[in-house]
Amino acid sequence: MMKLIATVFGLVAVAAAVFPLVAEAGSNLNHNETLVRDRHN
Amino acid sequence: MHLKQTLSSLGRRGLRVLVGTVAPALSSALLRLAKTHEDRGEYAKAQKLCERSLRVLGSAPSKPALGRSRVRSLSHLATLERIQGRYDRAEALLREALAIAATVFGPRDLEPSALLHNLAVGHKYQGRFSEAKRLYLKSLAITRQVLGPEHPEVASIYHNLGGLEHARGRFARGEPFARRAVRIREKALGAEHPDVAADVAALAAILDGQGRYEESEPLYRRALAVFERRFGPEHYELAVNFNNLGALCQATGRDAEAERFYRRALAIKEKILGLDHPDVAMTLNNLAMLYRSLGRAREAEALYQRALAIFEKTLAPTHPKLATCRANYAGLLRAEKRDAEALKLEALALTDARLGSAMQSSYQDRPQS
Repeated sequence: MMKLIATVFGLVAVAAAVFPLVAEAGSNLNHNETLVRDRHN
Repeated sequence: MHLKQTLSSLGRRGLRVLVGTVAPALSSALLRLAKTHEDRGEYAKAQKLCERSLRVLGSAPSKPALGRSRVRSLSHLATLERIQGRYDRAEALLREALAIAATVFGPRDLEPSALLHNLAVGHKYQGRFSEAKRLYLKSLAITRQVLGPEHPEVASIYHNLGGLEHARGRFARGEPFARRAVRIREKALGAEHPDVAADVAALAAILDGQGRYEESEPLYRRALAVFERRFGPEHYELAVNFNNLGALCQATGRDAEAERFYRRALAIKEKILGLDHPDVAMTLNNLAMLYRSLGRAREAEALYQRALAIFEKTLAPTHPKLATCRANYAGLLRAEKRDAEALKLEALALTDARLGSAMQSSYQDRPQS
């Protein structure tokens, strides 16, 4: 039983080390895209 | 019996501890993978991973770690919805995330601040500029206070404040924000980082808007080189900058080059965003303007019609992009002495503008989180 608990917590520790909680956020930079307008309007 | 109950209770508690530890790590891994797909322009795949992350976390994130992961999953999903032009869906997801973040972390934490920032970006694309500005400034105050004034996250908000002025056509007002974003991020991350390239491209567009083409063209090209090295030849960042370089070439009389850039932008956008995305419509409008100036009126008309159909389907009636495209098309019709058709288009624009001003005030009346 103790071995099982130790194994589970070992796996959790490895997972936490490999995938830290700082996740990559999606990009929040906007884009300044040109929309050409008719100068005579 | 008593022992059985105790063991069962211990088992449930152990399971909760396990889920509380493993689920955020798994969610984080899924979001990282989603970002990789997002960087490749594979938005549907990225979206599925964000949705899987939400399923892993369950629906009642009472602990901070689970709450943080759920907020970030919702936020990332909202970003993907926004990139794909589904602005209302993006806003609903962000408001759900804000409700969780405000409860779990309090309103002055970085998590709700990042969500306000993300919400403001969506408002900009929807043409809700005043609301966007208010949210950016709120997020800027919190982010500066928590992370300090020279942090890349602060640079992102300056980048977007510049972008807001660009969208409003107030280019000179946007320039100091854009320059500050470049300075802060370049110092923190180095010139080759794609986010620095994004800042440089945004600054180029602001200079371009002021007619300072000789300053802006090398900046566009510098940003394009970084994006191409980092993302390959078919990324959204390339499409935006090809579109902008096309407009710059058109403004400086290099029509053949302009057409080539527009065509490249259009091909990428149609491939990664689909045929009915508002960003596709922007390049269709620009190409139509080029063809019109070259006397290719039939081709221009077909492009205007396609652009207008997309804008009408995807943007609010009050949106300035829709108004610009309608005015451009009406200009072509007037030049061809088709005054009745032009008048119909202009009347439609006027009706929508009135409806739009009513909608704008209802947007502004909505309380912000």
